[in-house]
Amino acid sequence: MTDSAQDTPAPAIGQEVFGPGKQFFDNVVHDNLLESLLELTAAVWTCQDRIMILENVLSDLVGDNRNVAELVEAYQPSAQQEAARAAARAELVQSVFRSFSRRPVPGVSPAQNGVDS
Amino acid sequence: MNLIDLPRGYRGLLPRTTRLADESYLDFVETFRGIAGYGNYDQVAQTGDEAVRQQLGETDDTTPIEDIREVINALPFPAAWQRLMRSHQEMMWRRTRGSFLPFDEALLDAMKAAESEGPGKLVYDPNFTPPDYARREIHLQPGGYTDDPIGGVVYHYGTKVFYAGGNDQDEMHAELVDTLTPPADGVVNRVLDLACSIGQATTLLKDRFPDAEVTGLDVALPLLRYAHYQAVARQKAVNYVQGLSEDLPFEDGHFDTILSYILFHEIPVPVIQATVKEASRVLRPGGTFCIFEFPSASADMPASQRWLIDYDSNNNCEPYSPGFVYLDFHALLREAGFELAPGPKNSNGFLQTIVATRPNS
Repeated sequence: MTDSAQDTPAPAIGQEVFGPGKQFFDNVVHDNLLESLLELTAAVWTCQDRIMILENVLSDLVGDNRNVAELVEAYQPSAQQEAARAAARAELVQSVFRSFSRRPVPGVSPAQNGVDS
Repeated sequence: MNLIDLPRGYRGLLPRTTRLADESYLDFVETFRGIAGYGNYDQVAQTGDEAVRQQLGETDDTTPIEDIREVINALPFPAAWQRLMRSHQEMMWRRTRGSFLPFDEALLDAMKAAESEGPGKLVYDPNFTPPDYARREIHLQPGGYTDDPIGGVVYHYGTKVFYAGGNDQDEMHAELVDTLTPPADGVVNRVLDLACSIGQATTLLKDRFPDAEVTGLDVALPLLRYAHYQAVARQKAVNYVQGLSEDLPFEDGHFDTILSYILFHEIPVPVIQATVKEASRVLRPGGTFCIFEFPSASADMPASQRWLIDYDSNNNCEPYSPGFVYLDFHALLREAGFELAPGPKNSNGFLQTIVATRPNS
């Protein structure tokens, strides 16, 4: 059998999920913020899930009934590693809260706005 | 024939996504749906019904839906709920299809190879073109049921998420089949799964009625190809036929029992009317038509439920559901000669269940 009539003419696939989408708030920014929050949370979970699985995989590899999650908890970073972590953390905070320093809430100090400029 | 060798295999009946990151992402979407979607609906309904009472007074099924929509949509919580429902539904389909799309050739090859294998058959006319009404992206699924060649596997995993984990191993379809009402005389030689989709109930019908000839009919070839491929891999002797519910390719009185699960709200009213007549025609006297479907409107249907159906129609690509809900479906069945009885209680309380029996003449 051939697919001649079955497969043509097909409409563009994904007009609903890749098109302009829907707006539920008068201010579309509210729509966009909520959708961003969903995607961000999905991304956070995806990373967290992978870490949990990674710890299980490593525990299996290490063997001797050693739990990698516990080893990670007990790990003492070096001073150099602590500095690298602090720098990465600051970079994340700056990027996530950049909008608050660009458009500060009136009458609120920079520190209270979340970012020291 | 074995199931296609996907990178991460299967979990029972269900193919796993092809990457762990896809599974994690979709697990999140599924959990979100359960907690924030279904879980928050009662609060949305309560808030909405209260606002409608305050602004419109008492309402019934004749109150214009535009008035109800205007009141409830203006409330912040229902607006946020709608936003999140639509967004997570889009996330579900984008990621599901994106996970399986890199393996489309292997999937299509496997389904094509299965077409010449049994124990059951897949019957379709290569010159058949689905009617325009069926070619919508129902539930936002890319390509809908009819136009994405890998729509079967996408539907399987997407609806796994849609059912929030409650149908991972076809548990919900098992409930439908277990509670299906056979004819009073107990004779079941031929069974039809009307709008069978990917055949989740069809194969279970064969398990329940092993000596019967079981047929699944659907308009969508991508779904039927996947259904047949799954049936071949699992050696289930069921037949699949591409066709229209409003023009069934079967003789008069051919079937002893027909199952229809959430078909009628996905077809336009004229097609509903023709489908009911066709079901009556192909059912033998004393046969049962077992219907699991969206609710029909009634005077005491809460405004929030009418709003939900309206939301679903406009924002989840269910273009025909209001047509069904506001139709006098029971009267239509009676006009076609059926005798009606309440169907079995279903764990999905949203659904109505009907057993329509064709009387013995």
